[in-house]
Amino acid sequence: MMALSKITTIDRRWIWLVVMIAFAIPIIRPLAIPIKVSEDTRIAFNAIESLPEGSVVMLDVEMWMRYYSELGPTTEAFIYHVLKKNLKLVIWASSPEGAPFAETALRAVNPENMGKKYGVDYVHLGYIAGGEKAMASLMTDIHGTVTTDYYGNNIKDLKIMENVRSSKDIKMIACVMSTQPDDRVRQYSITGGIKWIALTSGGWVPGIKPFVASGHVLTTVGGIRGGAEYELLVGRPGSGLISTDITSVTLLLMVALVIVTNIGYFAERASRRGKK
Amino acid sequence: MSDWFIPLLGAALSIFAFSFLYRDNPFFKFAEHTIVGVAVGIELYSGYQSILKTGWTPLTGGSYILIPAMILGVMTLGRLSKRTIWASNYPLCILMGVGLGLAVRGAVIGQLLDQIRATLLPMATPNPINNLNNFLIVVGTTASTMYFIFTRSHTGIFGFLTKLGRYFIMAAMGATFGSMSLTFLSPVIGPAFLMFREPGIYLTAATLIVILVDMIYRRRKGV
Repeated sequence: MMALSKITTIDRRWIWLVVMIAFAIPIIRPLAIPIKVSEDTRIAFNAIESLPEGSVVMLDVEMWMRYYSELGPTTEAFIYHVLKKNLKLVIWASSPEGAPFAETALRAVNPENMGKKYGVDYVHLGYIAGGEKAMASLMTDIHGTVTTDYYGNNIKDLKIMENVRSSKDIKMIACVMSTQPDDRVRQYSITGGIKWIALTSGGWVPGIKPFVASGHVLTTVGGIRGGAEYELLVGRPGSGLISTDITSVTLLLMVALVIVTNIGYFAERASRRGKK
Repeated sequence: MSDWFIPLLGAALSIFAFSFLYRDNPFFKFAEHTIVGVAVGIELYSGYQSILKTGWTPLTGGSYILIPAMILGVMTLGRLSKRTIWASNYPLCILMGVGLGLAVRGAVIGQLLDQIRATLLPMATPNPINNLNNFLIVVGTTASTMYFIFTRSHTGIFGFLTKLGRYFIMAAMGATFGSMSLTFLSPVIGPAFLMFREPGIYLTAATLIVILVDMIYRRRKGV
């Protein structure tokens, strides 16, 4: 009883150490905890699978530094899937940090190794400022909105951009995002008339679901788990699956700690009452 | 060199950042300032690139229609001085007007009418689970909306419904918090990959030894 009551007064740095060990184990030795692919992720996968070869897919990357570990695996798996299906990929960033992170994801996928050529099969337009205004502008006139790509090439010189001029030329949009979906619903779904896939951080899934129900958003691929599921579906296991192991172990540890500390709290209260 | 140097640098900065969990130290301050500096650098560079791409390059290429937009853009810098702050009000007003104009059409259709339509769901389909889901959506949406009616006191049947709405709101917030807790875990996962994979794992082990030595030293000194 005394030992239990001491739990509540333990130096919190020991808990950090235990959590650190919980993080380290799946990285050093992946546990490969089996996961079931959710219906939401399968809808996203099937939507890309059903597109005819050569269709244009736009990837809007709105990512911030702290979200890369959560959204990076999804982004990489999605880029890999689109290119593997011989679809054309147009990437642009709606946040400043989105541009270098899209570049990082592209480098991780290494499209050249898949026989894909920059400017023919995929293009990275870089960051376009303006938020919703940039989205609206891209939906109506891409060439009027942006003149050069991320690397400074004139987009008129890129073969892929010859037939990509407005939302009419885009078959599917996917958004790597960590905010509310309102502006994208207004511009992509209503103005552009395109259903889009939300590759979103887990925290925003409940905020996007009403738009899935109303038919504006096709589906959500949410958080680390969604990324791991997408990796499984495209047959490219990566950091998403290991991250799922880490979250599973850490959350189990958190639940255990909550239970143990609560037992400790009640034990302490009981011992205090006993003394009185 | 970049094969090991960049992961090692990443691991070192991650360890510096997490070292705060042990106690405040100059390494943590260094990591903190570096992260802020790098983030500002990326934002500045991306902003500069965006101006070049969407403004300067087309302008020098003959798109003179962009001249008013560029002037308005320069006027926003008026906020930097109290004497010229008035100049920044004009581009901000235009920006707000354009933003509102762009948003209003989509907002009415997408965020109001279609959301109401998506709530009007059938509750007598052959699938009983579907019926239950639809029932929860209809009742939950109606009761939650009623909770925000403040022109009538929340008593009687109306009070019961608003209380029900409050429970639905609490459940939604709980679901969001649960999802958010996973999201908040992710910023730790990225650095953890650097810290527990080669070559970063050696640095992590060395740091743990340093911390252990410091703990023993401090205990002996009675600090």
